[in-house]
Amino acid sequence: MAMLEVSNLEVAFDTPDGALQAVRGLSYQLEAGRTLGIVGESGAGKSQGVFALMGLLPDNARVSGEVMFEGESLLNLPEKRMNQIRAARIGMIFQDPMTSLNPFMKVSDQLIEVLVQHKGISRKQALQESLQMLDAVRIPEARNRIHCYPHEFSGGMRQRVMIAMSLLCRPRLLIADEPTTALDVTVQAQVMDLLRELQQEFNTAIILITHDLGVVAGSCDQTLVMYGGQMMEFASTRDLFREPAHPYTKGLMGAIPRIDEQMEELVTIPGNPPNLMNLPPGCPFCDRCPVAEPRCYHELDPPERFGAEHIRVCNLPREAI
Amino acid sequence: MFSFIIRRLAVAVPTILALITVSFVLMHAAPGGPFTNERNVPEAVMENIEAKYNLDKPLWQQYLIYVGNVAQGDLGPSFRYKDFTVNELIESSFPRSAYIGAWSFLFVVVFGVGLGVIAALKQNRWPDYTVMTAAMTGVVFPNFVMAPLLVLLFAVTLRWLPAGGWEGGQVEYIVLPIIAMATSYIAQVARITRSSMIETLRSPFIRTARAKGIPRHKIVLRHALKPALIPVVSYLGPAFVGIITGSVIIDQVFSTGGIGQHFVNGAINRDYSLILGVTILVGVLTIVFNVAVDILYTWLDPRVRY
Repeated sequence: MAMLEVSNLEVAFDTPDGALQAVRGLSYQLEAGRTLGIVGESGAGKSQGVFALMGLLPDNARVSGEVMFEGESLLNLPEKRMNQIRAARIGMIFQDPMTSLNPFMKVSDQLIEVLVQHKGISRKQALQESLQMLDAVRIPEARNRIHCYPHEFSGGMRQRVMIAMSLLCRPRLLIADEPTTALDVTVQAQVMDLLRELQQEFNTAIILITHDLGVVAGSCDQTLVMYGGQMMEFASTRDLFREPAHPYTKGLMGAIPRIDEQMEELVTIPGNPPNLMNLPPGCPFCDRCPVAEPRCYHELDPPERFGAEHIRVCNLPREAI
Repeated sequence: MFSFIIRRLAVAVPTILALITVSFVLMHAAPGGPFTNERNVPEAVMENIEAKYNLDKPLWQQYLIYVGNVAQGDLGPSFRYKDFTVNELIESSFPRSAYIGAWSFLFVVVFGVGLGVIAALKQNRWPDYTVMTAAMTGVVFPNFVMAPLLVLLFAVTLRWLPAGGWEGGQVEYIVLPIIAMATSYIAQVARITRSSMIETLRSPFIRTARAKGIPRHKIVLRHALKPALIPVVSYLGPAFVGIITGSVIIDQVFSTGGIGQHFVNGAINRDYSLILGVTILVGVLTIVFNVAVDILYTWLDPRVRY
C-alpha cells in the first residue's frame, strides 16, 4: 500500500453566492521517499487539495472522499489527533515566507514550539536541535541569528527557516505549496537543491505544488496536472514530458519559453480558467482547448490508463491531440 | 529609543504652547467675561476686580503673564472659586477621577479584551452574538442615562450601595462610578478586539501555526494576541486620558468631586484660568500617553523601530 492514497477528494466552499467547487474527484498515490509534483494555473485547486489533507481549510469548506496516510484516514479526524500528525508526520512549507512565518515572534520561539509540542523535550534541548536544523538548511551563523525576527532575514533565508521548521520532527511527508514562487530565480534554484538534498538525507516524500514546469522537470518523480479542480493527466515526470497525452499539458509545455529560439511574443494558452462557481458539465478545459469537439462541452470520459501508470482525462483519442 | 522619547517630549513643549494660545484666544474672543452677570456692579468695584485679575491690561500682556506663570507651574487663581488656585482645584479633584479612572481602565482592558477575544473565537455563534449585542447596547447607551439608572437600581431600589459621595474612595462609593465609566469603553474595546482578532486569525502565519500542530488555545495566546492588540492599544492610549480625567456626568450624578465637573463649570462660569488649567492638563496627559502607546508598539511589533 502506498504511503499516501487520496481517492475521490472533493473540496467545495459555501459562499453567499453558492457553492464553489475547488477540487473535484481527485485521486492519486504517493510512495514513501518519492516526489509528486502538482501543476496547474492559479485556481486549479492545487493548494486547496493539499490543505484538505492537513485539515487547514476554512470553516466554510466541505470536504469528502478519502485520504489514507500510513493506513490512517485523515479526513474527519478529531482536531487533537490531527495535531499529532501535523508537523510530526506531515510537514508543510508555504508560498510566502514573509507572511507565513509569524512576524511578531522570534525565529527561535517558532522553531522551539514545534519540538516542545511534539517531542515534549525541554526548551533548552529544543534550541539545540533547532540550531542543528538551521545548520542543515545552511543558514550562516545560525547560533546568532536564531534569536532574530523573520523580517531580519532575506527572502531566501526566510524560506530556509520555514523548511527547517517543517523538517524538525523528520516528517515522512512534506507538502511544499509553491515554495519558490515568492523568491528570486537564483534563490529558487538554491532552495530546490536544498529540498532535494534534505529529501535524500531524511527520506521524506514530497508533494510539490507549483505552476513552474521547469521545477517539476528538475525534481519530481511523478507529475499531476490539474485544471479547474480536476486531474487532467498523471504520469511519471519522464513520461509526461516525453509524451504528453492531454491538450492542456501540451499547451503548458508549449508555453515554456526556450532559450535557444528567437521569439517575438511568449506563447500562451488563450482564454481564462473556468469560473468554479459555475463549471461546465463537460471538460473544464473545453473553452480553451484547441482540439475540443462539440461533445467535450457536455460530457467527459472517465480516466484512461495506459502505458506504465499514465492516466489522462480527455475525450479525444491520444493520436488526435 | 531613549532619544526618541526625548525628541517626542521636546516636541510637546511647542504643542502645549499652541494649545494654550488657541484656547486663550478663543476664550477671550467669546463675548462676556467671568464677571459679567445680570447684577449691575458699580464701575469702581468692577475696575478693582478686573485689576486684581489683570483683566484691565491689553490681551497680549495678559497672555504673556499667563504663559510666564504656567512655565513656573502656576496655573493662577480661579476666577470663580475665589479662595482657591487652579492648582489647588486640580490637586483636590484630579486624584479622585484618576482613582476611579484607573480602576475603570483595568476593567476596560480585562473585560474589553477578554470579551472581544471570546466573540472572535466563537464568531457567528451564540457567545459572539451575546457579546456583540451587549457591546452595541453599551456603545449606544450614553452614561447620562446609565448613571441615573444605576443609582435608581442599586441605591434607591435595592439599597445595596450609596447613591453618591466620596468618603475617601471606599469601595462601596466608587463601584457605581466605575461601572458607569467603564461600560461604554468596555463595549468599544470588545468590538475593536473582536474584529482585529478575527482578521489576525485569518493571517497566513496562523495557518502555519495550525500546520505545526499547535493547539488552538496556544495559537490564540502565543501567535494571535499580540498582533490583535495593536489596534486596541491605539484606541486605549487616548481613551485612557478620557477615562482618568473623569466625566461631568459621573461627578454630578455620584457627587464624587472629581475633575470632570470643572470642565463644564469652568466653561459656564467663564473661569478663564480654570478652563486653561484643565485644558493644559488634558493636553499634557494626551501627549504623554501617546508616547506611551508608541513605546508599547515597539514591544508589540518587533518591526517597529524608532
